[in-house]
Amino acid sequence: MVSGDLATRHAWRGAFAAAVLNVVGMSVDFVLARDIPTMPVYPYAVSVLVGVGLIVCLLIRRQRATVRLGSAAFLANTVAILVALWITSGHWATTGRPWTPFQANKLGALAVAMLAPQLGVGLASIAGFAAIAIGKFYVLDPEIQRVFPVGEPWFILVYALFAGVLLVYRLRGMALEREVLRVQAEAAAAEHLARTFVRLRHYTNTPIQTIAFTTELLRAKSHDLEPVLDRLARAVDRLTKLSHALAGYENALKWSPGDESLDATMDEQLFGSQRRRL
Amino acid sequence: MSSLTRRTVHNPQYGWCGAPSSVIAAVPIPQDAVRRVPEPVMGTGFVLYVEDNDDLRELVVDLVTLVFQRRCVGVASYEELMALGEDALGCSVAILDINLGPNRRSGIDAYAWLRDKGYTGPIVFLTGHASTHPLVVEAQRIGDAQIFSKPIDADRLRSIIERERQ
Repeated sequence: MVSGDLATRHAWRGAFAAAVLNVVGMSVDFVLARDIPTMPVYPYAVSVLVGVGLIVCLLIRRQRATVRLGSAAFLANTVAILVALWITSGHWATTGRPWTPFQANKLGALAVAMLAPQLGVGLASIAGFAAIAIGKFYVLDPEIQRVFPVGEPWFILVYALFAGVLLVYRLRGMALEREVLRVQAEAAAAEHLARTFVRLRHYTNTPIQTIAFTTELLRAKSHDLEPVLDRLARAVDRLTKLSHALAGYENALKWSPGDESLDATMDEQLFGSQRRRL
Repeated sequence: MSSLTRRTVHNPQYGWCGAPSSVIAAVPIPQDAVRRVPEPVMGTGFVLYVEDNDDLRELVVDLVTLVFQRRCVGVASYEELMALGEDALGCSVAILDINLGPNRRSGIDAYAWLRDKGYTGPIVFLTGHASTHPLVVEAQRIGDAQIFSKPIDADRLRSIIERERQ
């Protein structure tokens, strides 16, 4: 997938989904508006083209995606939608047909809460959907404003508030998920290290024991070697202390079925990676 | 030296285990005697050491024999121990390595075999494994066997061997 980083993966997926929704949503809106003679095509076309371009760009950069790329794509997609909505909503309002104002803006604000890769980008996008709706309302003719349902355009602020809360909730959940994964990865690395140390200790204990007994045997056989054997004994003592120090990692280790026979693969586990590097 | 007795048991995997080292290679032992020692030679009161590491096993046999002046029989596996049969029960102390190699019967199996055969003497486990290792944990549940972690020094080995005399 994109990369190992969960934030990057979320950013890429969010931007990609937003671009797809832009293409699909604008296409559907265009089909619904085809009976409106004054409705221009270019806002839909531009928005859809931007969406398609972003989809292609995101697919090309899929293996090299970053959170910044996802955020930039998401923001560009939002701007294209907002421009299109600014133009088309005015035409919808002037048709004189029954019309629920700023549906796309409300839907867009909620979609941002579900897809925005970062808090800043998300809040800016939600604010954009709300500002476009309110701004558009106030540039319309007062006669048109009067036929708007009661409470419009201020309902968009309720949607924006809900969208903002959902966005924060979702991003905090993702941050918590990433933290849990990080802690789990650290715990796994620590256990792997502990396992390596314990295996290393087991691997060296018998050789140390052999050297220790050999020293005593030679000491009994040859008194001439005393100074040399004393040095050897001190070396064994230091190795024994190291072994005892490594024993501290035993408690961090969870044994699983089959670990009892770890000697079989001891060489591979301890020295396999080194051999592969050579 | 001549009063000391060593016995080796054939190990099909590792060859002749506990074979005389260069230290006592000079002791004339007929080849037939090495392959099959008459029962009385082994007798009782010897130290039984079960260890799969050839070097360590032969070294302990040498150390116990030459330095501690005790007879010692080293075997490499549970199967070799069983091959000793009733002779093994004559030991004064049994020192068992807990892990006798991957996919092989363990020192705990050797313990169970000795007890099943009626051996009532002291049994000591020696291990290089972690105290949390499943085999060591299993050995800890055995009430009448002490566990020592490798490496131990020669004085500790001597105290283990001499304990039954006190």
